[in-house]
Amino acid sequence: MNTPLIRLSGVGRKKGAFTLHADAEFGSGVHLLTGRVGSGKTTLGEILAGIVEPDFGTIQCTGERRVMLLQDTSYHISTMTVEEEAGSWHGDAGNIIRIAGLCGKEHADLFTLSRGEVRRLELAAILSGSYDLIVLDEPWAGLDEEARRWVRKLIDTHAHAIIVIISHDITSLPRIDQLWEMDDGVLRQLGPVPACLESWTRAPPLIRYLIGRGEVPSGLSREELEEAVCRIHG
Amino acid sequence: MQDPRIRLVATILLSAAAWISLPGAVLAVLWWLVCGKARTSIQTIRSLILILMVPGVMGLAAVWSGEDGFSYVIRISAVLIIASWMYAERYPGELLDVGVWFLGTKTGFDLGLIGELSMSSLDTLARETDRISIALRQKETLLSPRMIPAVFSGILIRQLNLAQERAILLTLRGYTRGGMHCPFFFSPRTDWINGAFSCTIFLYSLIAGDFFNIAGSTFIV
Repeated sequence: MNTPLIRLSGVGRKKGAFTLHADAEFGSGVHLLTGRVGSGKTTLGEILAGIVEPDFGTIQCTGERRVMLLQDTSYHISTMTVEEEAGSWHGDAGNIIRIAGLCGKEHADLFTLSRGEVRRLELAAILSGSYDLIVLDEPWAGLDEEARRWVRKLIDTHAHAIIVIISHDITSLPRIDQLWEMDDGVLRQLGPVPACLESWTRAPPLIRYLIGRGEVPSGLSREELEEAVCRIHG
Repeated sequence: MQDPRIRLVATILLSAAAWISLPGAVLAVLWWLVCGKARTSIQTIRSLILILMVPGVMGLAAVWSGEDGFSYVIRISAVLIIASWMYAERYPGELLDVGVWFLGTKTGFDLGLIGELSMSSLDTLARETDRISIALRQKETLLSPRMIPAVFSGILIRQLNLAQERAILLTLRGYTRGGMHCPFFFSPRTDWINGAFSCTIFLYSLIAGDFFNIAGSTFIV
């Protein structure tokens, strides 16, 4: 049982006819938040990160909270070169550049880098920092398979924090501890992975296929899914 | 106010009234409080201070040079309040509605489309500024002049990308000039009454501001 660090009690936010409701406890570990487009995942991520204030309800956090939210746009960029940007995160700039795989591009203009390279730099800075809560909204956007594998490894070594991954793409996930689903604005905790997978009524086709063939994956990471697929094919 | 045509006319009249005379400015603010239900797009005290900074400095300069800086600040503030009310009341597509209603499906459509795209870009800019400020705070980085080139380059590149996407979309939809659009307006009686009040304030401001008094001869008897 994880130690709860963030507790949402009756948290809600209204936007026109849409209302978001969330009662939840997020402990350390990796949480996957899924749900249909427009179900309120991003809004919940913003509430968790403290960017958006809920209209009602309370958010309780244990201890001091250092929060980071990564969205699809690189709003964090505040300098012109890779070296300056890595240094602006108050960490070991050389280490961030090395983790991001940008050695040799230290003096490159950030705006000449590909979207994937900028994303890698941001993720390296975030995941090498000492944040208590990291919300990653569609972190695989703009990344190729090699970079996705790199992000998975990076997240797997960072499980002491609360990491909330908001994603539709279940084929690139790291090891997931808890599964959550937004259902038309209501947050539902499906439970720990893999125990909850069989009762996941809105599971993506790949998971439904595996369960239908009697091969419940041992987790949601890429490797665990591959292993389950391999078991089917002997 | 739900009818954008009346809102546009009221905005022009009230802004002119506020600019022409001090009593007009005071009445425009009163109109905003009563008829405009004090709605404003200015959400924070910080935004208010930033917006009033330039007229404040100009007013002080006017006072320093012996002019009536106080009147200037009040009048400009009233104009800004009315502008913020109009911005807060607008709904997506209203400029296209008004443009087509006023100038037809060619020039009116084009002007309305330009207006809609511009307003949407303003919204994007406001959201981007907000998000960048939050991102830098999370990064525990203080905003400094050295960041301006990087931050503004990012905003500019994203705006150019957005403009390109929209241009491609319009081209794919076959846009060359003008377009079909059937505007629909909902005009409750209160809109007409509030609009009439704005006309009255404008006329009163003309009189109070000696607008018709040219070379000592008053044109209104």
